[in-house]
Order: sequence, then structure tokens, then C-alpha cells
Amino acid sequence: MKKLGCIRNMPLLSRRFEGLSAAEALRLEEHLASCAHCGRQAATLDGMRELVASAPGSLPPVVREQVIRRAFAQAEALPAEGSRLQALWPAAVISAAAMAAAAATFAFLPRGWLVESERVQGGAVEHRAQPLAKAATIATASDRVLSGAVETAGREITEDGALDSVTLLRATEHATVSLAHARVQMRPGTALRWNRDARTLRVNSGSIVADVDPGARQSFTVQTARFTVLVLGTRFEVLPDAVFVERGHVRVLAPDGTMLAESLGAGEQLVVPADLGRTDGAEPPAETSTDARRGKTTRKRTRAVSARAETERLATPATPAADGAALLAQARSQLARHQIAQARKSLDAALAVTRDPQQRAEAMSLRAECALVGGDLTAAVEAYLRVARAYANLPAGQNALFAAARLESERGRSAAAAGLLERYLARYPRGRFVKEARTRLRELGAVLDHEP
Amino acid sequence: MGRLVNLRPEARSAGQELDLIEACRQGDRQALHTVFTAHAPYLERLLTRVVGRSSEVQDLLQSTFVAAIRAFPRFRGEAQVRTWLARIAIRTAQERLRRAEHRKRGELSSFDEVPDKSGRGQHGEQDIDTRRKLDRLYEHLEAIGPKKRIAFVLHVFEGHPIDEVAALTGASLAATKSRVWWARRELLRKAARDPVLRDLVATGGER
Repeated sequence: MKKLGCIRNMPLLSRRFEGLSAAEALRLEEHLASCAHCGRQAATLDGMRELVASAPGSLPPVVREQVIRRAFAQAEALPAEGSRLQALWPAAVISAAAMAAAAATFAFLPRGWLVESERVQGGAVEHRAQPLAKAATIATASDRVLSGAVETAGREITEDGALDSVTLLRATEHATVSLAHARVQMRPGTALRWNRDARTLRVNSGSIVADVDPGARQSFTVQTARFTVLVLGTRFEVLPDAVFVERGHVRVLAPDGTMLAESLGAGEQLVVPADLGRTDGAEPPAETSTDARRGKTTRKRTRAVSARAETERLATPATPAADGAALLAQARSQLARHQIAQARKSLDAALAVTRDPQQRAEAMSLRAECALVGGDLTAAVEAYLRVARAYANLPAGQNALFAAARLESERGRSAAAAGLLERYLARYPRGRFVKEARTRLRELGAVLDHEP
Repeated sequence: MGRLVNLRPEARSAGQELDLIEACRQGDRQALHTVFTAHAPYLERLLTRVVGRSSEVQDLLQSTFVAAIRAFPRFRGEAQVRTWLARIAIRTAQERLRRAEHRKRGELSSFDEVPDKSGRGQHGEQDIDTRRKLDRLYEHLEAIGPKKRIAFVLHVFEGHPIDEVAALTGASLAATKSRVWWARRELLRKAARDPVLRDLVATGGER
């Protein structure tokens, strides 16, 4: 119970940081010297103030200048206040359009974000840089035909016609359809199977260009016979044997769930050969991957892990280190199947059994991916940054920092992306993404002073 | 407009200041740039104290400037420009924190993150320790709630008088006092139970 003196001096304690008169200050100091409780409180608050004051509170002038320039660009891109257009557009669309205008130089770059995947398994895959196209308009909701005509269940659906939630569609000529939060362009001869509840589109034949609205924050899956593409907000092209990303990023999996490309970014293309996805557990022949940038060809053997073999491996008792590895593999598999809650449980279990830094770093990175797949990009960025902080000296830490920067850029948070890129270059002057990071920063207009 | 305007607010005459503000209201880009450059350091510090993460500050600052550009035509000089900008910045931060409060946070690990002992911070172990304490302090602030958090930060960390905090946050004086009081009480209780912030709190517990 507070003493009378405490109650009387509480207002002074509250106003201490505003500045007290000499008499008030003297009275308060006398009370603090004689009252252990109030003295503790005052000391704690002083400690917190010092702690907070120790954090840098100013941006470097060049970054500040960038922020101001981007603000002008963003303000110019927005519709005038009170205009009908502003009333019609949802805030997310306005923001996205403004950021696209502000980052126009990025959209027209010949090379996008090149991410080297460490987990490409099985088959020969190619990563090629392609010129980027302009950002397309964002799709509208509701399943319907936007242009052209499609055939379904023996009837033709023309422009503005509604589509069933589970339906087979065939286009004999160019057509565009709106499916959930995606806008899909169908080339002539394309046949699709759409399941709205699962937000899954299967390309049975032909090819499409899909533009997925990131503002919906929902997953969208495109499947072919050879692979599955998981997307959150992007524009990409799917052919029977290849995926090309124009904007945003996607993850590509083999039919059995193994990762083909952890993150395929803007300007990248993945070609998947016909013999990929072998699930009989047999050792595949030596495969060739081509490093297009260096012009060298490397030969490497990879082991195709079938789902059955994975299950058997998980069933056998193993050492804690092996348990950690098994749990991580289980989590990856679950994540590939969009079983986010199960993946998180596996990762929790992995973190409980393993103290190996590499495994822990991977588990935490996978937690970031859980957030990413779940559509929570902000949480994904935070999770990646935790990995980057805790495991700065491991490849996972380096990858996580770059992944966070890339995500921030894709969210349109150019200032945050620039800051993270600068941090990356400072921490990893010879890192694997140095070239891409410098290129990106130049596009953002930041001055680099990290030349080796 | 082609006129040379002194960057430092205190060095400008009252007349120059009025001219500058009028130019901003007319949408003069150079004038807006001058005002933003002059007040940016203060806004950066304010936002850093409120949100605690430097990665957020840049975007919040940008959003603040965008809002200011669009709102300047309606600015009638009823407050100092700095206070007006601070109000916009606080509103922007409040919105961001409110949205963050609604986000599911399933990724918070129930296990201690094993730090990479092989790597030190740029300034040695003390830097890492300070960073840990700061992160933990802001985690506790996050748990307090945006309104109490902002009021507490502005009053206790930034030293703004209560009535100024009320004006900045658009709340009544009574509500602001209450928020600061509750925030201080909650924060001190959390800090007392937190091993990371232990050396900020003297031993003995609460009464």
C-alpha cells in the first residue's frame, strides 16, 4: 500500500521528465532518497530512457533524401483527394500503384532479383534472366470471363459471364478470366481446371499468364503435370514445362512435393524437364545444371527422395541430430503441401531437439516461410530478420537478410528494402548476393559506398 | 520559385517562414522539400522512439510526408509546422501499430534463439546486449497496446508535457494521463519479471 508521501509525490514523479521547478525537484529528490519503492521506479524509468536514447534515431542524409523523393513520387501518383477515383480505389490498390510508379526503374530492369536456390533437387533446371514487363493491373474479385470466351460443360461463356466455383474451362482463342483474386490470361488451346475453394488452378494444356493480387493476402496455386507453383502476389507465366516470373516471387515444387525452386523472383525462369519427379527412389543418372552467368557446366548427382522413403526414414529411431534433420525434412514437406500449422509444429519440435546452429537456423528460416506461404509478409520479414541477427555468420543468416530485403521491395517498401540492402552489403562485402544487392540499390537511387 | 530560403527554421525570419508555409500550401516542391528536410531529424527520432524498429521508421516517415503533401493545402497555421507534422507522424504510427496488433503472431518462438556466439556485434558484446534489451523493451511496449504505448513514449521517453501529448495524439488530457499511468505501471511490472531487463530494475519487487 502506498504511503501518503508516495501519493503526494506521484504527480511530480510523472512530471519529472517535463521539467520541474527547483522547489518541486528538491521535494521529489528528498522523497526518492527516503522511499525505496519510488526510488526503484524512478531508477527503472531512467534506465529505460537511457536504453531508448542509445538507439540511433537519425537516418543517414542520403537515405533521408531518398525517403523525401519517394514521398513526392508517391504523392504525385495518388489520385487527387476527393476525386471519384480515390473513392473507388481500395487503399491497397492506391498504395500498390503509387509504389509501382515510384519504383518504375526497377520494373524495367533487364535483371530482376536473382536468387540462387540451394534446394533445387532432381532434374536439370535453368535459371535465366529475362527482361521484365510492365506491372499489369491487379485482378478483380469474382469468377467470371473478363474478355474473349471460354467453353465449359458444353456451353460457351462470354464476357461478364459467371463461372462455377469448380469448373473445367477451355479457350479456343485468347481469353481472360477472373478467378478469385487472380486475373488469368488463357492462350488459344488452353484447358484449365479451377477449384475456387482450394484456390487451385490446374493447367491441363496450353499456357497462361496469371496476375495475382497481393492485397488479398491469400494463397493461389497453379499446377501442371510436372510442377506446382505457389504464389502470394505476383505476375507469372506457366507453360507445360516452365515457369517465368514477371513480378513478385513464386515457389515451385515437383509433383511429389520436393522443392524445385525455393523462390523464383522477377525476371527468372525455371525450365522443368520431362523426367523430373521420379519417385521410385532409384539413383538418377548424373544431371547437368548450367550456370548461365559463368558459362560453365557442372555435373552433379542428386538423390530423388520419394515420399515413401521419407516416411520410412522418419519412422526409424535416430540420434537427436538426425531427428532434427528428419523433423526439418518433414516440415519442408508439409510446407510444400500448404500444411502450415503442421509445418510449424514440426519446426517447434525440431527446435526442441536440436542445438545444432545450422539446423536451428534452417528451422527459423522455415518459420519465416510458413508466414510467407500463409500470406503474412510482415511476419515473414520479421522472422527472416531474426534469423539474420541470430545467425549472421552462417549462410542461412546471409540468405535471410537478403530474403527480407527482397520481400520488403516486393511489398513496395522501398525505403526499408534499401536499408536492408545496405546492411547486407556492409555485413557481407563478398556475399553471394552482392551483385544483385548493388544493382537493386542503384535502382533505388541509393549511393553505394561499399566497394571492396 | 527560385528564392533562397534558409534551411534552419530558427534562422528564418517570421516573414520568410510565412512565405515558406504559403509556398508549401501552394504545392511548391522546393518549399516542401525545405520543410521536410528541416524537420526530418525530429520526426525520425520521434518515430524511432514510438515504433522501436529502424526498418519501420523509413516507411513511416515516407507515409508522413505523403500525408503532409496532400494535407498542406488545408493547413491554416493553427499550430507550428513541426507540431503539425509530428501529429501526422503519430497518427501514421498509430495506424501501423493498430494493424500490427491485429496480425497473428504465430512465429514467436517458444524457445530461446541460440545466438551465434562466433560473431560479435560491430561494437562487441555490449552492443548485442543493448540490442537484446531494446528489443525486449519494445516487445513489452507492444504488449501494452498502441494508445498507451504512444502516450507513454511521448511523455516519458521524449519528455513532452502531458497536454502536448494529448494534442499530438488527439486525445483528452484525462485519457492521456490515464494511458501514461497505466502504461508505466504495466511496463514496470513486465520489466521486473524479465531476466533480460533485470538490471534496469532494482531488486525488492513491488509493494
